[in-house]
Amino acid sequence: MSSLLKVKNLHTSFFTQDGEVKAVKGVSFHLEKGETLGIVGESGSGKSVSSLSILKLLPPAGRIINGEIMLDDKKLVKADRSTMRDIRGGKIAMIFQDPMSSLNPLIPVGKQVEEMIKTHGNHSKKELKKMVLDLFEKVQIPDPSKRYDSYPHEFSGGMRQRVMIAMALSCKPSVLIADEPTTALDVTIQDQILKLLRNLQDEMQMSIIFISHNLGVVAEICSRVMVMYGGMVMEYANINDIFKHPKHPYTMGLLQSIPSIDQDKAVALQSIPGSPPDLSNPPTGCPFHPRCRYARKICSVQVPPTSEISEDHGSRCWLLSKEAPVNNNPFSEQGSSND
Amino acid sequence: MTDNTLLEVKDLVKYFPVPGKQNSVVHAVDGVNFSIKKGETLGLVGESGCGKSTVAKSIVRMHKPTSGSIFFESRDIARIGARDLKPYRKKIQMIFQDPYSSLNPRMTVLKLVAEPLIAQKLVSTANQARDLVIEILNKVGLSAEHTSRYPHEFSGGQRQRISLARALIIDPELLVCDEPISALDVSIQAQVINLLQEFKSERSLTYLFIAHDLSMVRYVSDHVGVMYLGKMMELCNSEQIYKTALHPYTRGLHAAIPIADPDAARAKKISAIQGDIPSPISPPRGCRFHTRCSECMKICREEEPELKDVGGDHLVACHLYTMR
Repeated sequence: MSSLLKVKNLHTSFFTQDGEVKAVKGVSFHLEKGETLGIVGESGSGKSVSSLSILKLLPPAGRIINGEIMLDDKKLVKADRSTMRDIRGGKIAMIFQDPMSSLNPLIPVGKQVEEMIKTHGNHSKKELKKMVLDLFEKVQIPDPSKRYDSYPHEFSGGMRQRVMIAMALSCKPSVLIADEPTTALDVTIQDQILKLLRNLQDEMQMSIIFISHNLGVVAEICSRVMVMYGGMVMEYANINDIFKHPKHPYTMGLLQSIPSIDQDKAVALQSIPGSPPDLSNPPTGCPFHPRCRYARKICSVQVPPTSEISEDHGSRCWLLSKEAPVNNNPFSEQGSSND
Repeated sequence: MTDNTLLEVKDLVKYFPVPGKQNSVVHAVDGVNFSIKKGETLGLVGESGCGKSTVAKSIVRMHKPTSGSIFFESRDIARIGARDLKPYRKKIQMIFQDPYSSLNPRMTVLKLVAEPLIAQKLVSTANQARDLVIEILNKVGLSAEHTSRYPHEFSGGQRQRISLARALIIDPELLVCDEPISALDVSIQAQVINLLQEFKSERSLTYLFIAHDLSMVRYVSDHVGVMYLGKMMELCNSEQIYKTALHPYTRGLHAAIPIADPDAARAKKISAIQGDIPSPISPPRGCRFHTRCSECMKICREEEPELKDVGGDHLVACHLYTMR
């Protein structure tokens, strides 16, 4: 199967004064044409570092240690600067959480979008302006010709994010990486941006990697989901399986810790005890074991392998191994019926 | 006003001057009314700029209201001076959104948590203070060994526990929580919420709970108020706000919440709210929401609807319901 983007066994580390911090430890995934892959995880789970690794936009202390990243048939890990320049923005574009700090406050937004197009092709001034105005229309910025000369501070958060999307789409990328694009926005604006992304995706046949900590947002926009924790992929599956048949205690814990809209108020929320791991001093074995209520001896010794449940559903948990106990095991048939 | 009302806010107005523009003001809060009974939780929701945080800060008197009254145990504390306010500082405490910037990085946990005790002169010896600090730390899930550490040694969730310990050590009656969980990881949010709920039942604490996460607000609150551009749009008990929300704004907010269920998320049909929130410097005439309302009528552009009881303890400010 030829996927659009393939990441294999990616390891990314940061080299700090206190030594090596392993932020991503063996992440593999693939992205198909036109689909939206969600990456869910808490702070420090490695979700942003994975996506920055794809674009090789890591901060100076960060380095890809091992692994392979393939876009179509190009290998990105060893690619030189000029190849990466063409890919960034041209083939793979990215939008970030905070649209205020991603825009230059001193340059009118129209010029900033033009700059992006200029980097990737030759166009006359007139053409450029027309292209920008078309893009503004596409992302539903009202009154594009007037807004062309406005500065970022004259825009609301939602409008700024639309400018960022216009910029990202300007070179018709095949992959859009959206890193928490709606986290800084109000729910009503978030809803508008999600709809916009979905429509644009249909229109442009683009693939999206959608990074978020909000499971609700992921449920609305993604077709497949990958759950990360402590630099590893704990579970991956299509959207229905993740929400309806999770096969990892962490995924289950995440789902239980958010109240549903008709949550019974008398029942306390199921929280996951403890806090996310310290990456400079990670736990041995499964990174989740100190917080896992099903943890056994083996969990603290050895990292569990990924067990395949079905073709596109895998989970990294010892409970799914053949030797796993039947009692107190939510995934064994007998155990769950006893529950 | 019934006997067990702890807090009553009446016609609260807070304007902020706009720097460099003499005649314009930010209408942050523009005539808000509500009350909280003892032991209850009132949730306030709304988009950024709706004035929910300004309401909170006015109640703890970090802001002096432009006009209006704030009755706490029947005394108006809206404009009393610092000395008269002191006993109320003990009774009303607040925790903030960002546990990274609300704790002094140069103070140890012991000093941070003991500070309110000392400010209120509730302890006479250092040992006494220490004992009380350790007692409250245990209650919020920390321990004596943490007392000598500094805030940077803690995670976000633990820092929020320290903030909570600091607020609760002087045994307040009202706790104002301004987005207490928005800066925390999903798995930690539930921990803090459960802790707040425990204290509520244990100490019969009263909460004003501000958040933008509507399902969380429904879960923790007895009553919910929906604010928009400095005005209260709807106020009712927390079940009604979702089952029988009346105001088009509330319904729109409801439609905009992402649902963590792929089937429901895809089946969702109601269109959410269009457009952006207008500037609070020159809010729209008439109903403030009319520029984004799908059911806007002629009267909405001209006349401002009042917050009226439509029966069953349900208040709404919308011409759709007040015309009848």
